[in-house]
Amino acid sequence: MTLEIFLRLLVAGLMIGSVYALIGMAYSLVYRGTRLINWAQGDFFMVGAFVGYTFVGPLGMPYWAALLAAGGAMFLFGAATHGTIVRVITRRGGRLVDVLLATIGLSIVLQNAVSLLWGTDVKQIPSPLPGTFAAGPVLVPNQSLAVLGVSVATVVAIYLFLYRTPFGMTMRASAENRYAASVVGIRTGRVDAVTWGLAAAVCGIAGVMLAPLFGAHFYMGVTVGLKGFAAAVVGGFGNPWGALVGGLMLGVLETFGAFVLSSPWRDAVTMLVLIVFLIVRPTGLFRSEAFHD
Amino acid sequence: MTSPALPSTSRLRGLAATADTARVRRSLVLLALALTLMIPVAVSGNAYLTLLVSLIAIYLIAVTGLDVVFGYSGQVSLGHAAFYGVGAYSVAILSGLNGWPVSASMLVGCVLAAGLAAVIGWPSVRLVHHFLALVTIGLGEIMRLTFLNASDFTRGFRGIGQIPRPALPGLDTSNSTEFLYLIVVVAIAGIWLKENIGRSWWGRLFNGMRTNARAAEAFGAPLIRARTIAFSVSAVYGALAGGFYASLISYVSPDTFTFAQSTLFFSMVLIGGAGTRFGPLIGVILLTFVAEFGQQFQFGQGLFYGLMIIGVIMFLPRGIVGSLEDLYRDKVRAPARRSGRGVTIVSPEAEGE
Repeated sequence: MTLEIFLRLLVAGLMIGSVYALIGMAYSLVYRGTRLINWAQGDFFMVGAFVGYTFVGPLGMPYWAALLAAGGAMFLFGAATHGTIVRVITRRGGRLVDVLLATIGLSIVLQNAVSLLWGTDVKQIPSPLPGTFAAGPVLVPNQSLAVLGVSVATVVAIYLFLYRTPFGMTMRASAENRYAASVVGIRTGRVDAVTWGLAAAVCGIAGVMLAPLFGAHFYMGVTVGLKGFAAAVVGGFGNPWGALVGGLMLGVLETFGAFVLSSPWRDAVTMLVLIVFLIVRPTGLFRSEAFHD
Repeated sequence: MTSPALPSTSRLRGLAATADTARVRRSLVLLALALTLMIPVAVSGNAYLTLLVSLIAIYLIAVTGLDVVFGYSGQVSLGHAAFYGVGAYSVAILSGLNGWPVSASMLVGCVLAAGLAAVIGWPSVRLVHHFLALVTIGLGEIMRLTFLNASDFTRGFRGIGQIPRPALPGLDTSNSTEFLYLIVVVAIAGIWLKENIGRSWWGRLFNGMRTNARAAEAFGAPLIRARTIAFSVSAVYGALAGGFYASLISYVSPDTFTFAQSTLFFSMVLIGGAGTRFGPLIGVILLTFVAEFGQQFQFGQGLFYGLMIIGVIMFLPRGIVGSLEDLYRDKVRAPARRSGRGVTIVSPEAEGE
């Protein structure tokens, strides 16, 4: 393996890994805040890509405005999911497993609804930054760098929101101790809805960013969702910052794995990592809040 | 206490009532069995219906196993298609490609599936409730990718065709009606076995574990062993169903053994009613018909299916049959008990004497 190939694989791995990291972070945010798993996270990513496509294509909005608008739309969608489905289930005493299954149902609904509304063909969003960037001997598509950059920006924004705003503080308080938070007057129901919305917005942004590279397709969320989930487990489920490391690690691992093995086994690498982590080290690389109830 | 006569007569009346209901129930079961055994004859004129009923019976085998792990022991397994696939590919590879007798390769499939379930289940059932669910999703994906990529054995995406049917003395399984008889008998035997597991020592343990794992453990219940056993039993059912599926369709390919198939199996249990006697049957029939008759409007069917899952979890948490049972208990039996008819519960004071 020459240095050039190594660097090219590394950049490609980090790029796709940053997407897994964002999805994984969404899983962990939801788990940390509400002790639930939203299986449709990958499909929120897919819906985000299609909403972005609609804003850019038919509505003719500039790409970056469409990115923010799609993020906002997905925020509302995620909060609405919590306000309708999840709240009904948790109010009657349903547990994590019930929400997990309901969101599997939601993921089936979303895939079918999108294929009815937008069709089953691959939709292309033109990249706002066409062309490539030459880093020494390595040519990198500008969009890949944009994906990395937006991922970093999203993570920073989430961090600032959680640690530098009053509402972020109520979210952390509610995640820390729900009962105590409700005693001091925090509306935990509203906090939960915002948490679900925030996670959905992160997924939507990831979808709009990745669509110029691979196109938008109604089935695109399935694998990415599963890998984001694996990223969250590797990083320590319920630890959003761990999910970042987990995602980048998985992205690099599977890119190199596909090069060394053959590319059909690429997805199996991730699944194997997922199972090994679940069985051998369920708390993940970093402190996990899951698996100790 | 003051009136020892009252509880004793009502207890007698209760006994008489149970004897009566037991007799009625037994004859109902016999009637249901007789009707079930007439189905293959009734549909034998129609090749499509025969295939559909065969498929329903095969799904019923798989879903009955899933009900042992979910309905009885309370664990969520979202990778049932993995075991279904192990069973199907065992028959496809051993019998289809290497000429083994189908019954032998089905046996191999069941043993492989049970072993796989034990190896994966044993370390993963020990932590928390939702843990197995996550591991099984990963397991299902790995098995699908293995079927797809280990093309030296499985022929990859092209799949394996010309899979023979099991040979039994006195039964011509190449005739689809007679093969359907075999599947129906196996399915009934499977349900009978499940009911017996439910009433056995292990079944009561599963029940206790599902209602309160900590209390069960405090009484010395071997939680980890019991959970692993429940998971392995479900895997055997899955592999058996997979073997029959491969024989019936006589072709297998990796597209069948997906997360969507696992979800379908699980939804059948969930929508029908987990842990109930007829829930799996209702779930299988309902969803098979949704899948079959929805094919004209292909995506609307998926929409309906997904909404049905969400709706059942939101509003009928015990599934269709479970909710009907609750309704019967609250609206029919409880008022009757209050007015003194069909008393089965003896008051605690009387019990003390």
